[in-house]
Amino acid sequence: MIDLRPLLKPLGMASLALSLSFAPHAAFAAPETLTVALTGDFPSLDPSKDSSPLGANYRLNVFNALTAIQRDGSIDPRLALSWSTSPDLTEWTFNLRHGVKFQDGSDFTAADVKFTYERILADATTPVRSFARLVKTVEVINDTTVKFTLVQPYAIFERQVSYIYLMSKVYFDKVGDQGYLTKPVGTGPYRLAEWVKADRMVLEANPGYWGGEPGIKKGIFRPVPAEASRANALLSGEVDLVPELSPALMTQFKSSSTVKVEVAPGFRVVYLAMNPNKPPFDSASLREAVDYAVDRKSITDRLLRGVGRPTGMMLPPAAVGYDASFKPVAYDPERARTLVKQSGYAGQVIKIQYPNNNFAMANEVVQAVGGYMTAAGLKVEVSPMEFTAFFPLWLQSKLDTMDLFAFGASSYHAEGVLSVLYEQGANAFKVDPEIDRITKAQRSEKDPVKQRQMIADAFRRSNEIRYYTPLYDLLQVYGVKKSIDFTPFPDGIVRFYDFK
Amino acid sequence: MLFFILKRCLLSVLTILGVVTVTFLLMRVAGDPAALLLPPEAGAEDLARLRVALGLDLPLHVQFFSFLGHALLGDFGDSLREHLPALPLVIARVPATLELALSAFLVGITLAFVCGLVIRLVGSTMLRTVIMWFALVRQAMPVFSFGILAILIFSVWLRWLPSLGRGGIQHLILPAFTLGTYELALYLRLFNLSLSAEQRQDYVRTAYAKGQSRAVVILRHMLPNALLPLVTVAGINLGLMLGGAVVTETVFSWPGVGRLIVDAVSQRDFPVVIAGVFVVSLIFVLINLAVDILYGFLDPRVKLG
Repeated sequence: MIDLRPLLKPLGMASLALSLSFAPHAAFAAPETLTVALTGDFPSLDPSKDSSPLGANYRLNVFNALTAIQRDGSIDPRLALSWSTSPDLTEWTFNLRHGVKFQDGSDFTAADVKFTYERILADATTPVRSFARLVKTVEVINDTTVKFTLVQPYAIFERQVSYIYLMSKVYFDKVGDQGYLTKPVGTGPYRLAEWVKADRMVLEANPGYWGGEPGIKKGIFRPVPAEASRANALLSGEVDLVPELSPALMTQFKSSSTVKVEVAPGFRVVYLAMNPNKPPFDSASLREAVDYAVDRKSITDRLLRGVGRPTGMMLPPAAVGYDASFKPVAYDPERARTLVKQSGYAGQVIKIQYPNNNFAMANEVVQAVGGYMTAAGLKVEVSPMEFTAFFPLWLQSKLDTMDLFAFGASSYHAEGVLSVLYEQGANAFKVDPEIDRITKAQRSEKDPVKQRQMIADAFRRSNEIRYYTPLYDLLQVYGVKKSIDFTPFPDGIVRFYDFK
Repeated sequence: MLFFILKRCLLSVLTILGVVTVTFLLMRVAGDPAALLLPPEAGAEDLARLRVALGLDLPLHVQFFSFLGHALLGDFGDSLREHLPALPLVIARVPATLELALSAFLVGITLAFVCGLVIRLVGSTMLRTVIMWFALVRQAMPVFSFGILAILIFSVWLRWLPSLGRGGIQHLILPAFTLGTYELALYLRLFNLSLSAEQRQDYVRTAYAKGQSRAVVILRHMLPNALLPLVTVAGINLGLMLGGAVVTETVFSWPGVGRLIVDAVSQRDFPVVIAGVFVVSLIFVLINLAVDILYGFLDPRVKLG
């Protein structure tokens, strides 16, 4: 990192002079144009072929799904106005909004829903299929009613449909695959005006949007892979918003008069996973020892400088099912040391695998954790991996003894975490039959209060058996021009229509 | 001459074939793209189904010959991420890299030429030391640091130039300057060396004896000969830069080929990596061939073939 101190004074003075000479924005009004710097470019314009979080910046603005997930985790109707389900939770009927048009002028009807889902289910190569695989059949009842039959009972299917962005059958019949890959249309508040690969994507407000024309008339995404360049682009005024910044940049930006850097809640929890199938973590007391050995508060307060909150639950506060009564495990190095001795630890080296480029300061956190474990009497080795090397191993449960990762459900519901980390067939070292049972049961529980109780039971059990131990909530750091009023969603995805 | 060109063409084809084969094998060994294409919510059956659909479950030699057969017809397959044909994707990024590499090449050569000439004409050792020192300092800085520093000064502080992307000439200045000055120390030293070598030749003594002025001797007689090594080295560097000046492209968010290939490698997007490597090695091989032929024309002492 370049030492900016010699430049701070002239930089500050220059910024001050420049900001005074520019016409000031009306405080907190939506700007006409907003430029956002993202970490990379979009993989594909066809919403049935891409499920990446980066691509969600594009999909959420240009398309609609049947529902959408709000900031607080609740469900908002979008193209579906209301829905009902059969008593056994396998049949779901959605009543669709009237008078909605796609950006090419074609009408939105139930046939488009059937078309989109069947297109996704028929394509074995699309990652989006993982989000639609609950669906067995889609039936058009009439133009504004559609019925889904699922492969299994599922209590929160209205949440699952928010992942599938609807495409126009009429338009597709005209332009085919290539058309959707190069000139897509959706029903969303913005239409794609221009895409210059690796340079910029320009979205323009859709005046005919059923929800009313949005305040920001032009939204521009620019892929800027180097983090230092994103920060500089914000300082130079070339971009207005950078949703993902390193916490290390916060002090640097404090002296800027044009730009502010803030912290907001995220949707992931950073945790340690321990493999109970083989030594040394086949011993429950050793897993317990690790839990007490780590000082979560020091890590978040001093190492991360507040960009993280110690947690006692594998769910973040934004997720449905979060229970504030779960307290983080208190730091107790004495107890940890005693437990290590009791566990019969034979002195084998414990390797901690983790992705070093997936979340901020992973290297530093792992070294801190390793240090605490060493202080408790364990031999530790850290094994940093590129995310693209780590992720396939994680996905196939092929990791070794111990790993550190950050995970959260983009559906903002405990179901997303339980089904991926705990259930039979998921990415777990070992499946606990009790948690597996509760996961399946809560999925078919219609009463939300009862469902939350079951979820709490599942996570309480998880904390007892300690195959996973939560460390801290991952918070997001973003930079934005001081004249712009912006509050990010926990998933960090930029919704242009969200500005007033 | 014709025989020389034909022989070189055959060698070039073999080179490119070798490069593509090695890349193919390396990518297959490096890891499984199927897992990277899926979200965390994917299950084991999704993974298995995707592998079969991508043809990754077939034996390696079957995959290779199938790929080779299609490649010879110009079909490098579809990008695993974008679902669009890989070769056109790569080719679409070449103009941006060409623009950057050629500009950097011109900046490098021009600066070396002007500085070298000024040093020689003025004849002051002090000037030479100062200029060489600056060039050396520049070379000691990694491209990344120099690029970020340039952005800090010219974009953030002075707000004279943009730091991102590609557009008019103002977008080209910082990246071209960053990339072009990297080898400046080498070019300057080379140019000075060749000028000094020419200085010692008989024809220089003859020219002075015939009463030619210093400026004429340097500019009209020594210069063309001294330029040859510089152009050769710079030409080879141009080939390397066309391979994708990845760091410069990343720092300045320049939409070039280098960045595309590196991103594709991270994502294990095989078709794009192989198409990219193919295009880059083709360009490099062609440039080398051109430089060799040019050298043969410029220096009649060199016999080609």
